[in-house]
Amino acid sequence: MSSQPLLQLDNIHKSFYGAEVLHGVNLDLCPGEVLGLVGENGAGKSTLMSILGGVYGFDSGTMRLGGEVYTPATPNDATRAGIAFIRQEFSLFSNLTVAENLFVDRFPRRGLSVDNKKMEERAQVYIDLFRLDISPRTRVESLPMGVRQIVEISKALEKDAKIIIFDEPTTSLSPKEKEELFEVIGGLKARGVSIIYISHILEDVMRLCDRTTVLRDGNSVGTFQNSALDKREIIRLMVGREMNQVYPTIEKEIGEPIYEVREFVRSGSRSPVSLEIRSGEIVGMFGLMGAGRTELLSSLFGAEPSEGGEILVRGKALTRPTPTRCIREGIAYVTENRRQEGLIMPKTIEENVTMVVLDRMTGALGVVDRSREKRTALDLVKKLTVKTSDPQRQFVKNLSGGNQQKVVIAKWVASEPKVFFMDEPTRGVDVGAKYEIYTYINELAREGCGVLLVSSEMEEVMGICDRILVMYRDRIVADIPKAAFDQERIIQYALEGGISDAG
Amino acid sequence: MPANQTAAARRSSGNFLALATKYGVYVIFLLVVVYFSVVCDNFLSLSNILNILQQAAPLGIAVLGMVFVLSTASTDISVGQVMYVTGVICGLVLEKFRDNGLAGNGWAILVVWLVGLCIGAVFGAFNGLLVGKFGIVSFIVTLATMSIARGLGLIISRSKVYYMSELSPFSQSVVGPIRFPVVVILQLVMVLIFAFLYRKTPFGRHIDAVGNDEAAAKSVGINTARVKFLAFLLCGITASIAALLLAGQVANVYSSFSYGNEFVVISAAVLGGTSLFGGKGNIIPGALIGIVLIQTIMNGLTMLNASPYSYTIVKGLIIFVAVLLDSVNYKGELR
Repeated sequence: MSSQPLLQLDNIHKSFYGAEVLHGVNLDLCPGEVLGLVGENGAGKSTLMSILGGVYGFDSGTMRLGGEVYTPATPNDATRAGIAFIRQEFSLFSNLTVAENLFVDRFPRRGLSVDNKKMEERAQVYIDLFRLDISPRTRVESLPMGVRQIVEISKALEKDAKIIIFDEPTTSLSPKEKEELFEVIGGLKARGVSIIYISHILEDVMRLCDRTTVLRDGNSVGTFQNSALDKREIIRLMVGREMNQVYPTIEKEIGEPIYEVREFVRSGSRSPVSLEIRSGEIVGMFGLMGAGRTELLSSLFGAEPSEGGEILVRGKALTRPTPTRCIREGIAYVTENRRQEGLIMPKTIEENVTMVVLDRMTGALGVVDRSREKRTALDLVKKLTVKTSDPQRQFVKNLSGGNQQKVVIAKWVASEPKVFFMDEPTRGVDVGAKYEIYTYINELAREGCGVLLVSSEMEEVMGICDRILVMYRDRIVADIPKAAFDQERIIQYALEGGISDAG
Repeated sequence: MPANQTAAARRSSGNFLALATKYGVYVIFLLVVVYFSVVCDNFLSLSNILNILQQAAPLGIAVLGMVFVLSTASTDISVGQVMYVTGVICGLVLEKFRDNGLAGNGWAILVVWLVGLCIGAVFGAFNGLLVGKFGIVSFIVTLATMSIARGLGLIISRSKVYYMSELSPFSQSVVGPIRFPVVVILQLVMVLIFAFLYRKTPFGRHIDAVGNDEAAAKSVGINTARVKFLAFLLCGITASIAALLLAGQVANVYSSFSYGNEFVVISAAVLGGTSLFGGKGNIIPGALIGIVLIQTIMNGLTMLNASPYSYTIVKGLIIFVAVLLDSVNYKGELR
């Protein structure tokens, strides 16, 4: 691709309140190219994209779009210039139809009324283009996430987007939807649309992109032809060091069972499940999407109904679990969706951390002891290496994904649990923060906690767990000790529910 | 396995619940009609049915504006008192005309109507401005407006009763061989206009977008302040139309005129399928069926000679049912 770049960012500097976060970033995007953008959380990807989208201004440097100077003052300017964003959270109206969503900001009119026919014809063009099995009149609320994303992409195309920026687009997609998205991205490329693809999943970046720009700490490390890169190399560029040992190890002792489940049946499933976690043990739970792992965890915690079975916490029976009872018995649950369930975004770090234990922080008359609250929060923030200048003032919504996750964990650690359920604790988290979270999970285990860790990343469960349970269609089909870890075996259990005897 | 049986039982009861809530209003309607027609002789007579429709029509028009407001995920609890102050001021104007011997003139009635519409528009615009432009929670804004409207009405009237008989000929006129009430025709025309506005125009679609996700609506360039302003403006105007028609029907305006009607209007809208959570309005048939159901119950209670004081309790129960149906039906996503 020797043609003139469509978009060219040159030496972009940006400061927030006196602290420079971008120290001269360069980026160029050729027509019809898919450019990967990677970097740890906090490397400056989001800031850079917000500048490109007209959300923030920049201090110095130049941006050129199609050879002309480009300085968007508002998000509308960016849209008009042909730049569209596909974010993790969609900006679709779930109660409107597909066609209405495509035109919601500029309905075609016929006389006084909306020209439904024209609108639906246009929508049908995209439905055909992307071979969707829906009608333009389908309401968005009835569509799965993958299709919604394609509606969002259609919306961008309808506005003549020349550059589409995907920010972690696969987070809420199933593996099948992900494949479909990649096909769509291929199609966009063939139509001459340029794409910037931001993701933590390096395999996807390697597979999808022509070139990759790496950011580190607000600097552009460089842009590389993907053919000349491998995953290890990208990681090295991102963190600036070779990650020889991605998974920390620790000396710890595995003791008595502290959490036992016998013949537990959650509502909506027919399969009784039994499992056991010992103190100091990290038990992984691996399985494909939809195997029922999250559902099991959440009904064990009492957040969803169950039909019966026996649960023993430190030998004591816990009948009919409810979240309140589970917390009282020393169980903590880090949910999969930290945005919706785990954190209160517009509150400070301190308030989030002490939320679960507030009633233990009271002094005389049941009034919250502020100094004790502060001490606890500071202590945990430090222990978990949350990157913040002021836990009392900084709002959780302004933290990066990795740091938000640390706050979620800190929140539960404050309640001094003995059993930790963690559902995808490192999803959407950068490599450095992942390492810190693993270290902390080990730390918890050494102190005698039992950890049940649900994860879809094979490497992760093999790296930090002492034992792996594999789930397949609501059943636990394998219980594999560390000595017998074997990728192929694990994946075969997850895919087929058993091992066939081939060599 | 017992576990499976309970699961199956729960599933089927879940289905039953879903069905019951979806068609709940119709089921309740049917039960109410069957009950009253059994216990009251004249309940199902044509004249009583037309009577119910006629009495339901004024508030039925107020429901239309309310559907718009609720669909933007706001609420307007000032409508009852805005109706009261409209009635009082129109009564005062009418009295002045009467003192000068002009009250019988057509143009005098027209002036009274225009004054009434202006009062509704002013209150609606005031609510809309505070909610839309200044972003204040609608419940609080309209709570304040409600109090102000009530106070104004009491100050102006000093609790005296205004006679409105000059407005009665229109409110009580009927046409055709079955003596079909004209107010019902007016209501139906307005239903068509509001349904068109809601379903067919960009404004109507924007109401749903704002009610679904205000932040997203703003980010795609919808003028959310304007959309909310217009919804409240229309709600104020429909309330004043309702006040004029109701004043004509009862032929006077006294200090408890329209008292508590905000709850009748809101529960009628919600019974008809409009969601309190916003983003989901229902005009045809919702805005019709809700108010007619409530009026049918009131009519039946009257025929049974029930204590007038029991009406308030019944209205309270209706609100519970309406909100319950809405909450169970709500399938929206976390925002």
